[in-house]
Amino acid sequence: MTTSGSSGTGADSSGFRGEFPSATPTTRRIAEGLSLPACERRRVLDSEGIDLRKLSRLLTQDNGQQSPFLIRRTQQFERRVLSNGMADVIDLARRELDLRIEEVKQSVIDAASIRDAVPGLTPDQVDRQRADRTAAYLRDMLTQPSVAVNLLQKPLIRLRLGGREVLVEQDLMVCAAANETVHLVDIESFAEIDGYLDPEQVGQTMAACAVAVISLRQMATTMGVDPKRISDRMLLVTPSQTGFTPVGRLLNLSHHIARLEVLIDNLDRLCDANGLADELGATGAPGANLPAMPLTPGTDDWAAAERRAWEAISPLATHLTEACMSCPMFRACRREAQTTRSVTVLGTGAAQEAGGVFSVTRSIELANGATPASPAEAGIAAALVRARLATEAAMRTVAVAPANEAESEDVEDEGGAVS
Amino acid sequence: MSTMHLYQGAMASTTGLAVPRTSRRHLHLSDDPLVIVGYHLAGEPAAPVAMMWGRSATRPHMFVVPEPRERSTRFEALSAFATELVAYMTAASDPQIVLANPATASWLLKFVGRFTRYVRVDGATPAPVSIREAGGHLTFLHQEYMTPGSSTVLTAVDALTQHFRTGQMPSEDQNLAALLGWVRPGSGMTGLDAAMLAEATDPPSGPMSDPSWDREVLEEASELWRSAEGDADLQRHARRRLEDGARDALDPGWNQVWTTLGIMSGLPEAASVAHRRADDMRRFRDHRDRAAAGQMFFRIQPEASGSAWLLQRHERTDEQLRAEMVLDDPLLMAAVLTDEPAISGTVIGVEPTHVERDTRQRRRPLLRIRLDLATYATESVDLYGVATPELVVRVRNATDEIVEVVIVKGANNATSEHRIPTVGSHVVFSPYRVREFRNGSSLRATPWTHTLPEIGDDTPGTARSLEVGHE
Repeated sequence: MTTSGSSGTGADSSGFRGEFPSATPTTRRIAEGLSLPACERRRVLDSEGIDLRKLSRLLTQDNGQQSPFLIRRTQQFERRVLSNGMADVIDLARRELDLRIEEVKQSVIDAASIRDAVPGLTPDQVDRQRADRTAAYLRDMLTQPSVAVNLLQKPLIRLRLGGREVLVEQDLMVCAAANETVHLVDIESFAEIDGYLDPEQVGQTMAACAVAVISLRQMATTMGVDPKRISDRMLLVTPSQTGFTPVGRLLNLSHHIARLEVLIDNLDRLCDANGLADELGATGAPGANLPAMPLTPGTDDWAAAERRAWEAISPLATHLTEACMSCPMFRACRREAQTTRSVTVLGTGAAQEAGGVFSVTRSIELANGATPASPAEAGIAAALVRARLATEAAMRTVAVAPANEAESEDVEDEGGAVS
Repeated sequence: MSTMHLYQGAMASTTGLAVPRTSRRHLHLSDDPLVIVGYHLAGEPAAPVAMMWGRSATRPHMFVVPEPRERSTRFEALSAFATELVAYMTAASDPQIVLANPATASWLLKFVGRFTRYVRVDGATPAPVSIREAGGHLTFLHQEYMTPGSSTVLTAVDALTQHFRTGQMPSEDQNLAALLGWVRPGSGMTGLDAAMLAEATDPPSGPMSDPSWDREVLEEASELWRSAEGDADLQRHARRRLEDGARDALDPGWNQVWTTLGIMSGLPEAASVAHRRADDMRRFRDHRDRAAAGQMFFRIQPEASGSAWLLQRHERTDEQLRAEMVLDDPLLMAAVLTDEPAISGTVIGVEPTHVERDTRQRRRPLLRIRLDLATYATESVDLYGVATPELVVRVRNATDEIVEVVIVKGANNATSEHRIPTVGSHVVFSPYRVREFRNGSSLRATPWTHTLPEIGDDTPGTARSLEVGHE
């Protein structure tokens, strides 16, 4: 993570990451992390800017690749939309957002263009340059829209999160300043079919863009401009049907913004209250830190690094749910839950049902008539006994045919499945 | 979620083996199913990459598309599959399509169906007629897949999760290899071991291929194909390379689907399956008649009143299906007894002439039942006899051991009083009963949930222009 203007906890927390690789957070990752508020592990790893994919690879050897065809498709569609001076985007912005754009003035502030302009900068310096330029362009857009650039590509946005300032990379974002407001435009490669978009993909995109709107509004506030001039209405550009023809969709982010603002507030309060360093200390990992990423799986180095990484992260509490399946750390956390026989491995619904009973073993003990040790256990114990008695009674009334009846060749060791 | 869901999950996790959720098979199995597994290009559902299909586990047919982004190559490959699908749908006496998972159903039936049923069969780049016909069949099959209780389309994942509870998250059950690991772990392995091993080593059963397979097999083969442009021998070689790679990737999923069918056939069929299958076949024959007459038309944008009607019908079918399953299956009834208001016990006292002490002084025979399990039922709930569905009872007094119920319907006069259970008999009352309803009953008016806002009528919207082929 690129941090700037650190708020006092920076020194301790950079110690936690040690030499482990970092990754510049995307708005998508921040939205995803905020949506798992019960997970202390994810919160700490996120605020440390740790590369979660690499960490997951170290712990589970799962490399979480993307198909080259999907990557290429995304790039091709992006190129198609951005070609011809972004004529398609401008056309869609005029139509869908009802913007009056008389003259198109655009600028690109990706890392390559900064490096071309100012050779010899370190990656950190490039990021800071991009963030500064993003801020300068935004100020112009808000204060003198008639002369300012009205399309901005690849901005890097400052966001205050958990008491510190982070720079967030937008997958691809364009701000169109006209009508005195700034709108986000996002380009995604999943297709709109017969007017329908995949709701899950749209939801993720909207959450990510809401993070960007919140950041831009924070920046507007510090510039003394009404933050509402960063609009909560955005334009989503996707391919249509089976081809690459771009279509636009107006999306209202106000719900996502409201939800994420609450989560960001909570995070801020949490960090104000005990600070990240205290949090790490309180959970029993004082001075623990991550190893450097080893090179080859299967070596002693790798095994040692894996052990050390586990020691560093295992004191950080997690709460495994089915929502975690999209988190890069899912497999690592799941393995831990399996080892401790946590009831969370049975899924969100079952874990909620279990209430104050936290382990699978204990659930079965209670179902078999063990005396509840606490009021929390007593709540579910009676119901579990019912489930066992009802099942046993049903099993007595039916002669349950073994599932493997039809396939006699391997009955011996598998007949238990249905008996 | 229910306590039974938790209990069965905990049992599966503890014993290392999926536990049965049902004691019966609640779906029909055909003697002659058509099994299909396949991959599409990542991010491009309109571009099939490889597909394996067939009516015999040992003799699958297969196509591969060495250049999935090229329309003509795609159609050429797809037409072999389309021809066989059309032949199957025209001739099979007990038609049943079996797929790996819901994602494949949604891709193949909905998406591929949508883009092939109105494909141009004339003009500059005509598609084979069989593809267009197959598109109509796929769309019908998608409708069947969405119909509760229909066995015309099955997915292995749905079939297994309906009948078994694993010791993992329901979302993880979507991986067929892992799910089967729980139901059928190899010898010496727990379900968890088998599921984790399957997740790590088995290729996906579709419709998305493994990204590393894309990188190592598909990308190489399609490059070889492109560079061999104009050289038929070399292109054949490229195709063979891809076929070998696709067979390795699809074989496990193919075998898993057939294994699932074997597991299902080991369960005794539930009583109501036959009549549900008769409904399936009635719809299927209607469809076959339309296909024969060249009348396979479907809407692209559903109409409000039609959607409301379909939703209502599906809700009622679903309710009926649930009742039939519970009444057919003691294990499902056990879940009802655990989590819902229901009564199971032995009759220890009968007062046939009991009269309710309300203003109307109705005769309502009273039963005193020693409970197998304390009941959640209260006075306000009507419960129906499981053995004698005509009996409707309501609770009057209940302790954890004994409940008193009155019979409010079904045994209140001289002609029906023979239905009153006798002392010593075991009775079960549940909130479920099978109701008759006419399939064709229509809505009086389109409900407000399905009415559209008024829009200017002459806007040339895309939806309007897409509505081709509808009568």
